[in-house]
Order: sequence, then C-alpha cells, then structure tokens
Amino acid sequence: MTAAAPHPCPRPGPQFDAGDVIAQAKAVLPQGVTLPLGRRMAHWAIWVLAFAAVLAIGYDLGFTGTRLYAGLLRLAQLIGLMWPPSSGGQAWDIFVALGQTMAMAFLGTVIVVVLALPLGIVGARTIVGQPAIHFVVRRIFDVARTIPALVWAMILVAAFGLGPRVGVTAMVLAETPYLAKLFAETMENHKRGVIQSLRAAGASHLQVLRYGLAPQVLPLMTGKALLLFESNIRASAALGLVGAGGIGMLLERKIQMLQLDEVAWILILFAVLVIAVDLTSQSLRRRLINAQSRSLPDIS
Amino acid sequence: MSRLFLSEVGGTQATVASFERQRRQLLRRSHLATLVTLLILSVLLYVSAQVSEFLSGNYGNEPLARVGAFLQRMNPHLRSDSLFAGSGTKGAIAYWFYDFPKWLRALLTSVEMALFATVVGSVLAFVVSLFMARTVTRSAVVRQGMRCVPNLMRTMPAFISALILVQAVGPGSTAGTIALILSCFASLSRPFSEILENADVGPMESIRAAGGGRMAQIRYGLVPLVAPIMLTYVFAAVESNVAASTALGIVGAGGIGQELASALAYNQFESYFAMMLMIVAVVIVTDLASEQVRHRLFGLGEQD
Repeated sequence: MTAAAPHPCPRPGPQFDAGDVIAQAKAVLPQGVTLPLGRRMAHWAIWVLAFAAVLAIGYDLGFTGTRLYAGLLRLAQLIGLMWPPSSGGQAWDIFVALGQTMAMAFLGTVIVVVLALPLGIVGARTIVGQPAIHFVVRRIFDVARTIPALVWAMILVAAFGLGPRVGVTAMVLAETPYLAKLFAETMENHKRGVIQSLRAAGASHLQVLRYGLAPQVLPLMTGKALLLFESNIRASAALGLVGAGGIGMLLERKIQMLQLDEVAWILILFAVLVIAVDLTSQSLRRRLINAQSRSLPDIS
Repeated sequence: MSRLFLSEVGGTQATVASFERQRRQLLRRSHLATLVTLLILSVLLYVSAQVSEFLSGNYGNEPLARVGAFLQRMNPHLRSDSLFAGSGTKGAIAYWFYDFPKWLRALLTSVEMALFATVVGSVLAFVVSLFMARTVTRSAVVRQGMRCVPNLMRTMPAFISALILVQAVGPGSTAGTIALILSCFASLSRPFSEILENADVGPMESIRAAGGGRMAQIRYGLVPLVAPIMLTYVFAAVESNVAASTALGIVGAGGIGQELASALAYNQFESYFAMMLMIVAVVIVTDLASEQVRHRLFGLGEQD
C-alpha cells in the first residue's frame, strides 16, 4: 500500500450510520455484539490489577511525583552542563582508551569463540550421540550464563587488581556458556540430506564434519560471533566502570568529577565507533548469509 | 560408461582441461583469501593482546597461586557436622548466608526494577515504533527522524547511563530503573517497528473501508496481529533485564548489585559467592516463569 494511491473502496456516505447497524445487530443477537457482563468485568479486573501492580512497584522503586520531578530537573541541569562537548585537551588519551576498549572486545570475542567451539560441539545433540552428555552440558551452560559479566568483573578486580586483562577474563567467563549454547543450537539445525549423502558415499566421520556440516553451519556461527563482537564493544565499555580499563574507566572518572562536557565528547565518539562497527558487521553478516545460500546444494 | 560417452563428443579434452584450470585458479584464489584473512586476524589479535595487556602485563608472582587463593577466599568452608546449625556456628549454611533477608529484599528490588522497566520500556517502544513503521506513519521524514532516536540510544550501555543518572537522581533503584527503561526502549523499538512493517495491512484496510478511524484501524486491525509476536520480544526483554538489573547496583543504582559492592568493600568474598548463587537462582526462575507464561499465552512449543 503506497501513501499516494487513492483508496480502492469508496468511503461510506452520510446515509450509512454505523451506530444504527450496531443497534440493529444488538437487537437481534445481544451476545454477538457485547461480551457477557461477567467476562467483561473479569477483563477489566485483570487490567486494573495489572495497572495497580505496576504503580505499586513504581512507588516502591521511588517513582513518586516530587522525587521524580527533582531528579529530572537535576538531570536537565546535568545535560545542560554537557554542552558544548569538549575533549578537555585529552583527545589522545581518549583515543587510546577507545582503542583499549576495542582491543578488549576483540580479544574477548576471539577467546570466547575458541572456547565455545569445542563446548558447542559437545553440547550439540546431532554430533555427540550420548543424550546424557548433551543434557548435562546444556544445563551447565544454562546455569553458567546467568552471571552477568560485571558481577564477574567486580570480584576479579578485587582479587587481581585493576586492568583490562580482568575485563577480558570477565567477558570470557560470562559469555563462553552463552555462545556455546548458540553454537550448539546452530550445529543442530542443518540439512540432514547433505550429511547422509556424504555418509552413503563412504566419507569418514571427519570428512562428514568438514564437507557436510562445516559449510552449512560455519557462516551462521561466524555471524553469531560477529554479533557477539558488536555487543562486546558495549560490554567492554561497561566493564571499564568497575576498573577494567578502557573508555569505561575514563568515563567513570569524568562522571564522578562531573566533567560532563568531556563525558559528552567521549559518548559521541563512542556512538560513532559503535555505529561504524555495527554497520561493518551487518554488511559482513549479509555477505556471509549470501555466500552460504550460494554454496549449498538444494537437497534436504 | 560416462567416460566413453564423453570421449565421443568433440573437443571434450579441451573442455576438461579448461575446467580443471579454472577450478585450480578458483581454489588458489580462495586459499589466498583465507590466508590473508587469517593474517589480518592474527595481527589484530596480537595488537589487542598487547593493548589489553593480556599477555604482556605483569602477572605478579605465581598467578596460579593467586587464583587458588582467590577461590579459597570465595569458599564458604562449610562443615558437614554443623551444616544446619544456627547462624552463629562456623561452617553452617546459615553462617554463610548470614544476611539472607537483606539480600533477598535487595534481589526482590532488582526483579522489581526489571519488571517495571520492561513494562514502561515496551509501552514507550510500542508508541514510538508506530511512528517508525511504514504501515502506520505515511510521512517518510517522521519515520526517519523517529528511527534515529533509538538507534542513537542503543549505542550507550545501560551501565553508563545508570552512572549518569545516579549523579542526577541520587544512588538507588530509581536511577537504575530509568537506565533500564531507556535501554529496554532502545532495544525493543527497532524489532517492534519491523514487526509492524511486516504485518498484513488487509485488516486495517477493511476497517478503513467500513469507516473506521486511524485509532480504530490500529486498535482492531493491527494490534491483534502484532501483539503475540511483540510479547515474545517483551518476555525476552524481561529475562535480559533481570540479569542486567542484578549487576546495575554495582554502579550504585540499587538492587542486589549494591549488596555485592558492599560485600567487596568489606572483603567478604564468600558473601559475594552466596549472592552470586542467589542471582543464578533468580535468573533461572525468571527464565522458567517466562517460558511458562509464554506457553500459556500462545500454546507454542519452545524453539529450543
């Protein structure tokens, strides 16, 4: 439907009254137009209860009129302080910190992928025949991926001191089970036909994996790894807040000292970086998917 | 058979030779591409390892011993003979979880933050996504303009906005909730607008033909179509928001994270470990609950 095209149906003229029609229908078959009173009351009760629950939770969390008003006023003040953005004469330091955040994200992603690959193979139902192993491994992934990276980072910083190395370690601990689960799921979703025909032609187990499974699942898995890299750039910036180096650590210091013009400068630069990485990774992922659909023979 | 047949056709030898040549060329090219990619990746890897001090940095004396000491400090030292004794006895579970009611209250705050933020964030995302979707908004200028807002907001991690909000509204759960609302809104509005764009416009056109207004078209023609798909995204957001809200307190934004931070301030590694277990439990319970609700609502099987 385009905006400019005239509508094919003529609008009902003034001689047509929807209210009239509804009244007639009601007279013939009341339960066809309105729900019974009990059902209507129940619907309303559910909505009112849900709304009241949300309001109560909001009150408990401090969303009360006066408090919110004062907070928003102060927030407006702080945002006013952000203008004009300024590098504070530390442009080089900021670039270095951004580079460090990128490096943390990249290294973290590579280590996570390297670790998640064998774990994903063990967790995939179609590759490991043993259902018991598959079940246990999957449940371990489920439990391990519930701890956020920041929770890991905080205790690691307390134990091993400040630095980007701790950030990378926290990312690896938090994300390996997550990616392993994704890898396992990806490896389970493949076309059986390709593998069956390879096996029928007498290929060894390794050959089946290399020529039957890998061409099907590797592009998808690379896509997942690229997505992880995108989110890791944001994650590694957040990890810096607890002392894991990079741009987050710099931001934390500037926010505490209320040097908000410099905060704005860093945030703008960071947004540009994130958008650039997202766009690059998007086009790479699109090419991967195209390459996969071209290379696959259409047998299922 | 086939070879016999092939040799009868004129010029087959030449065709095969040129095919082989082309194949070799293609293979060589793809090998070269792989090699170059690997080379670039390893250079990047080396540079990032240097920059992030992962290999080069000073690990101190005996890094493995420090890992051991770290694990030793997280160990609650439970003793089998006094496992169920009161909180005054060392080695009891109650001694390990000595501040359990307070932690539970903080954990509840975290869950409340996640739920409230998901509700408010998804309502906001729905309203904004209406202005981002071609099926609802005709003006391309409005659509492109509205699209910029969540795209820009998505670049900012929730923890950084939380830190700024802590400065504005003071430490506590309000700051964390607003940060979660913003990130939930930013991450949901794009999928919501895509769902709206992919929706069938037939019902909306029928309502328009019957004389229904813009609101009636959206309320009766669009919402019933898209609500179930959007709700699956909302449930996924609940799950990820619960996980995020447990960590938000680390920057002072309320919930169990604040208790985590204070445990570290007093060097209580075993309390930290206890709270980590509680976080695992609550995240798993949320996942299961959201799965149950999804099954009830849609009667769909899990994709897993």
